[in-house]
Amino acid sequence: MKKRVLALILTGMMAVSLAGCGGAKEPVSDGGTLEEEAKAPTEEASGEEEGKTPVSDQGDGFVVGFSNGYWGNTWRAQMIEDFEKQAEKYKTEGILSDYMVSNTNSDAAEQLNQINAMIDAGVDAIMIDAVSPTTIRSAVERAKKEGILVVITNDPAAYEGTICVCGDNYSWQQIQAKWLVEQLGGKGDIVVISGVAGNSADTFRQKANDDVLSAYPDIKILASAPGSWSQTEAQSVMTTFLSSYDKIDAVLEQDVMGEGVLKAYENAGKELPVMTGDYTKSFLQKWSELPDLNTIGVSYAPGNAVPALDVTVRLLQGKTIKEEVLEPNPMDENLVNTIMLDPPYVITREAQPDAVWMEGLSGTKAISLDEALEMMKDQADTAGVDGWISEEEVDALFE
Amino acid sequence: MNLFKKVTGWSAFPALLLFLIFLGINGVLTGGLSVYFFHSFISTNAAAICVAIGVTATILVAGTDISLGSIVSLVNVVIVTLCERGYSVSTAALIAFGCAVVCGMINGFIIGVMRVNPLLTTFATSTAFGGIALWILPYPGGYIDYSFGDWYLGSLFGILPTPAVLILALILIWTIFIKLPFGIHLYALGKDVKKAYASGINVTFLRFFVHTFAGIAAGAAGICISASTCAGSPVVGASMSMNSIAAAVIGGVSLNGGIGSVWGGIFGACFLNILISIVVSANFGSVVQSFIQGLILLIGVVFSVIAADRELSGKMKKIFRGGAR
Repeated sequence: MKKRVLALILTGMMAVSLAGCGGAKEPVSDGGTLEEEAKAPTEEASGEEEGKTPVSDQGDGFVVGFSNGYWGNTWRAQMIEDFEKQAEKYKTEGILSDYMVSNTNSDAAEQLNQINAMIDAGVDAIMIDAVSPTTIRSAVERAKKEGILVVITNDPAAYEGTICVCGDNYSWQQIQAKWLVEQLGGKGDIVVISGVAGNSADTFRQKANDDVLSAYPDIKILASAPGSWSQTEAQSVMTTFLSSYDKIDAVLEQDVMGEGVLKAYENAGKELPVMTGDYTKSFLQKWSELPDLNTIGVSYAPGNAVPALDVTVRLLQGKTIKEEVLEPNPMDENLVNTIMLDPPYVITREAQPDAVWMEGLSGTKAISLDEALEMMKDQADTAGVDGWISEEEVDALFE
Repeated sequence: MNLFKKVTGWSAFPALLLFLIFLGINGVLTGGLSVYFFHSFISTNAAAICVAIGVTATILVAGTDISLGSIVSLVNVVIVTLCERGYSVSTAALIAFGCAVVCGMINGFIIGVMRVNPLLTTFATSTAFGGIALWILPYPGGYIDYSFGDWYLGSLFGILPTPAVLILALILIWTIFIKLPFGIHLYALGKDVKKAYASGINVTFLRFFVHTFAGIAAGAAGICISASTCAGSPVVGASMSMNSIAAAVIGGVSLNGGIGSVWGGIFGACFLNILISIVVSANFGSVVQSFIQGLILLIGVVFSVIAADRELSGKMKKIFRGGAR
């Protein structure tokens, strides 16, 4: 019998200490006994027909939740940091009363649990970067049923009745392909290293490559292989290419694979190629040490979450997005609900704002390598050049 | 008082208590538990609960099964791939379920008939099944018709949510077998293999059956996760194998076999998954969420082990008394 008592005391201690962790949001006093705590929710549930919750009752501001579906690289950490900074700013302005963030490492069921928990906590809007475009349907349906605004963030996913604010993989890759064509003067032999085959981001990027290159019959693609966005894999692919072909005029690749390509060239002792590059600090540093390297960095910005939050807040305030701003969703052409975010920065050795590849972009700035390095001064080596459109520019998207 | 003793003495009681307490805390944090909450909780976590039921069955006979997560992934990719090939969702689900049962039978055959250690067997088969899943669908993608999701998120017989019906069906199958003479044999086998064998219990068949049942449970879990996500991923069940064993242990199922019940696994799984909700509801910073989740889990595990182990709790009592002096 005594051990049961001990067990109960232990549980009580746990419950009370956890209640303490809940901090200011905890409506029940710390001294509450187990029975009281267990009963409290059911009483509240029956008392509050509207499902209003203490979190949203705290102030007049809104509560926004952000559910992030992948966690574990610098890019996503930057994204969350950017989001939290901007949310903190809205909080001090009193527009948001609170915000919540949850992360999962590509676990679809865990993400659903987290989104459901946010709905239960009474958020007014949820931003979702889904584990995979199709996995969040049950949670989105439930949020809509409860009148919660859903904003698909960063990675596109198509759901009726939501708004999607995402990075534009197509225009991002298009800039690099156009740049490469310019450097070659529309003529030459190139190799292509793609990302993870079948991944939707890579599909958009390869389509951009194909669309640009199809206008230049004199550019010959010697070979194309996936490098899976892995530095080492890209290096081994490039090594194979270098041993198979005598003359490679340019390398069309993307993202972190840039350093792998460089290493392959260094190991082979060959002259540096014309190549599309990367926008991480370590690549930029390497670039600045190699005066012969002709490359470009386009930032696929982790800061995408910031304009997404700006849009979310304005929608909550009852503003309407201009009709002409919305584009067809990349995952479903028939659903026109998407705001595409152009890359914030294009980095070349000297800034070239009037170049061909800068045409038709809104909110994209051309900067020099030195400017980019200056921006990255205090960042980690793996961090990427980050940026986002200003709140004024976001305001211009609304009526 | 007798009833009280009976309830608190139940092996699954600590897990039930843990779950209820944290459910209560979650309710307080979110300002009330709605019907919606329970519905979405069960539909999201039915897969984890099914796997926990399956693994509990294998642990009861002093075995284990770490391949169930891979079977879940396999079921998921089979459903997605068949749907994309034009099969109807129900046909696809049935075929995938059949695959899961076959996987369970393979485990059962190797462990029961060929008498290979269950841990080694399922370690090997988990890689094999996971490998097949990866072979069929190398990248996450594909989608299942949303009617599957609607069926799953809806209710059967008017009030019972579909996932709850699936779980209840599993429990029913298991309970029926436990009530047969066979059930006692099962616990006997878990307690002592040699004595069970010497008493004429059909060890081979029991092991075969238990692993087939685990396969059935994994099949049900695969259907649940496929329906709740309506998408395919070759690694969707990857984290489930370990989580389900943890759930069973929290639920008072002894890893040495012979002690515990499937309810323990169920409540253990519920507790593990309510933690995810709690950590989000309490709105901890994103970088400490995993740590806090792990910390509560550790406390929960320690608590359930102390509550279940007479000797250990006696020792604990002594330590506490000693400290007081």
